[in-house]
Amino acid sequence: MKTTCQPWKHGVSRRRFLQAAGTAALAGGCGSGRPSGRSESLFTRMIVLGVDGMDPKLIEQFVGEGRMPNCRRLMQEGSFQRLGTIAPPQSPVAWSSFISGTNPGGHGIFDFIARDPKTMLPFHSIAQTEPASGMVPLGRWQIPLSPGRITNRRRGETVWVHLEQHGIPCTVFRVPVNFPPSESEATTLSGMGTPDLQGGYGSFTYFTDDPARRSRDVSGGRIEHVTVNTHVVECSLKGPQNGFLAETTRSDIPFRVYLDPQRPLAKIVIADTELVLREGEWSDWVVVKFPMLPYVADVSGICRFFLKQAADGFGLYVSPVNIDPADPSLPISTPPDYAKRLVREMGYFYTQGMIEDTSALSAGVLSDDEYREQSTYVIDERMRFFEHELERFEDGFLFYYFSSLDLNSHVFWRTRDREHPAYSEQLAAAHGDFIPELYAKIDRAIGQAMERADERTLLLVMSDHGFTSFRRQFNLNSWLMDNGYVRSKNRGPRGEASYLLDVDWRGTRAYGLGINGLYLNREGREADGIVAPGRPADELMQELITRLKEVRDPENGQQVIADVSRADEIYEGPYLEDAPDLIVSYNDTYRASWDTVLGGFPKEHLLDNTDAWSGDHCVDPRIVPGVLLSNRPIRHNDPDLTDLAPTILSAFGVPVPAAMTGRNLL
Amino acid sequence: MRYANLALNTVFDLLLSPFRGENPWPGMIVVSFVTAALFVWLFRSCSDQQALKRSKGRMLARALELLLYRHDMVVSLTAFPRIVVANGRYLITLLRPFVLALVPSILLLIQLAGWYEYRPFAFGEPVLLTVDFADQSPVMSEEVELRPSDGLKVETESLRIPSLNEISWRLRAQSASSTSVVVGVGGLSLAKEIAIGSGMRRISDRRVRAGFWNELVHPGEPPLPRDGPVESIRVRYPRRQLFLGGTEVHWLLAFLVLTMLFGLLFGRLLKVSF
Repeated sequence: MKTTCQPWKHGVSRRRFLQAAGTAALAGGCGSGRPSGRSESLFTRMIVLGVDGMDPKLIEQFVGEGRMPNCRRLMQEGSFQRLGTIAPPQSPVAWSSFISGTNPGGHGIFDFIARDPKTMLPFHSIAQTEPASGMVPLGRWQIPLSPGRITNRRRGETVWVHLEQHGIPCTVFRVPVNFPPSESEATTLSGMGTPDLQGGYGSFTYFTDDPARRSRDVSGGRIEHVTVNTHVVECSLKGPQNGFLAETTRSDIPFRVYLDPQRPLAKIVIADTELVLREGEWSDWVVVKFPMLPYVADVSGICRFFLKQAADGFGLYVSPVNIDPADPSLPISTPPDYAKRLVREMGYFYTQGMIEDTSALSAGVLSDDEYREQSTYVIDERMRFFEHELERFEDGFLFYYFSSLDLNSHVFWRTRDREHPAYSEQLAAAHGDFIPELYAKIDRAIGQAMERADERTLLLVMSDHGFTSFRRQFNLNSWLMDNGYVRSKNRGPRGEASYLLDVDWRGTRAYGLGINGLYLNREGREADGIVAPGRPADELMQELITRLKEVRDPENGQQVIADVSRADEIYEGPYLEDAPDLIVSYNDTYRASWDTVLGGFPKEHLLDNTDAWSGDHCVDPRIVPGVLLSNRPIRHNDPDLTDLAPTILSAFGVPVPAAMTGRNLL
Repeated sequence: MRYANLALNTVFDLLLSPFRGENPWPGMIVVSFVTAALFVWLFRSCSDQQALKRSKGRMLARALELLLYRHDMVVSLTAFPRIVVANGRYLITLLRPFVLALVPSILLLIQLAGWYEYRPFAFGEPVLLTVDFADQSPVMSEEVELRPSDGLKVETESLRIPSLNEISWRLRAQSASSTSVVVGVGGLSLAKEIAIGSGMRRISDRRVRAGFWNELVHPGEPPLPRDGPVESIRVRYPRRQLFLGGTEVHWLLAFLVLTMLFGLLFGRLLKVSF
């Protein structure tokens, strides 16, 4: 909803206008576009630190150990509670609920992965891309008459839109599931969900002459085998799809690496940039421009190089090519020049949604040490930007997001859990201090926010979920197949490659997709649906709930799935029809396998998780509550994520919309 | 060439010294203003204003001929060659002032490039220093020593690239003021200045061997010995960015547009016909 009268667009700043004009002037001058009814506000300023994956058990431990003195002070002066999370407790789902103050039925994000029931093809749930259309062919080129479009799939109104409508200035820094940023007057920078230039969540490239590594795609990246010829390596960095070419291919930038014949040093020459790196060093940001239409259009990106090996072999890691914030090819901020202004004031920065390159760690491209170095760079960059935003924050609402605890808990939980299959004493000794170190850095940010908070400032520190160990993985789809719910087209031996595309839909009643989603193959919804609505569907769901809860781990006899919920019983709202029929809530230390997430059917039902991705939160939400710290007392002792948006609005005296299902906690 | 460069460097340093602040636009506006004034004066002095007016009058007459007699096929068709001839005469009339302005224009642009093409390194920024060797001095057989002054930290050992016959180092700016490095090679000590800090200043991105063209294009520092082993010593400076309303504008475009605008203004004031 937009106001019809916007005087600040004609030379007067919005803030000054609001201060000067006052409520009466607003009512008389442009009140028609601005909802009335704002009651007296309790606070003039609010700082919300959103710390993805901050776990209450770890906070209690680190506060007890004296690692988080600011947190201890905040607990003593204000309040500390476990914050109920959402089923399923996945970041896109949980943050959407925080943003909109509704359960997933109200915002339409149910998992990282969604599917088109007509084609059964999976896609990322956060944003949807529509390619350019109306192509006019010109030889090997084509010119689109209608440009492509990218839309945010999260529905429902955001908390900051309501605040802005009532004259509260807002800065929202990298809140997840806000790509492309929702249209608003607020100052926002998109976070989780922002793709790299290849269009995914981040795809690294590793150039190596190691004969054991052939050129191939790996999860979250690509390995390119290259040849070192007289100390020179010819490489090519892939960029976005070039839609101007009739035969769609990725644009690329060739570059050259010169190696010193005697020392572990290299010079990288890419376009008009040259840099010298020692073995084991990271570069600063490098701007790369991918040509799309010669002399007419290019796409600008930024990346970092890491020279892994320069003597006795060659290894060069190139980070995912991030959208260039100084020249963004896709919208990443509101107003659009906010990202450019940040570059001018602070230098280049990561723009992709999920920054820490856990894929390169899992693929063995980055070692634990190298990954930790990249991760440390990320948290230090985030801290610098936080200090910058805090410094310029005057009044209104400031939300600032930290991702580091989440992604690093995912990959370094194996340093904390002695029973994890990937645990080792050596690893624990080397990196067991990393998670505590990150919590201490967040504690520093909390301290800085406390210093800026006066008696009219509400400070909230919250997380979307906590964490637990991910020791064993469950192949839900394999279980469904072996129990007669899925029929395969191929009668031969079953392997990891038999994804949903190989399913015989006329003989399939239910299938898993995403981390916690279980769908019925419903008549009238899925293209080849066979489960009739009404009683047959209800009976099938009940049968699946009962049988899945009975699954036991043959290794230790533990219950694998703590609960299975019907979406229509736990969600409500206009987007319920997009939800999986059942939400599978895994028991502590269990989770869906990587193959099941994308609809694979490996042979085993249960297997050890030996991946670096060793901690997780996609389990029963009761196992992984988030945290809520406040500098004011919280009235309720069972707060949950959907309560935060109403609390924020109420603190500013803004009416809470009916669509928000939560309560005011203050 | 060396003395000419010294003189030009001094003139431009004096002209732009009041504009050493962060904002590049005041200096750019003043330089464009002065340039426009000088070139309009030069143009008026060196051109035959009467002949120019006559040529322009003829061109206008031919154009009107085409317009007024458009219904007459013969006149229309024969008007085209007459327009071309009139244009040719006009251009010939302009030739003398343009030729006379060419040399100062080139020198001016080379000097301005020194001020506007690059910016100094900021504190903490990496500095890539490269020494290019002559063909007769293979890089792998040369003994090379790098002696940085205070304010520069050498971060890498020398990186030798035989295929390019060059050596590079990565240094880091650790002071707020300009400094230099000395490259010791073949018994020579070759200094290269490195600009660090903020604000506008003349920047020499490379020091080159003696030679007319080399010195013409790179006037910022004294030339290297003509017969020495080193072809050039170069530093990759960050490009200076000029923003106009949030949009980056290349300094050359800004200079040309501003000079043209001021030139038209002066031309009108001084009643100069172009």
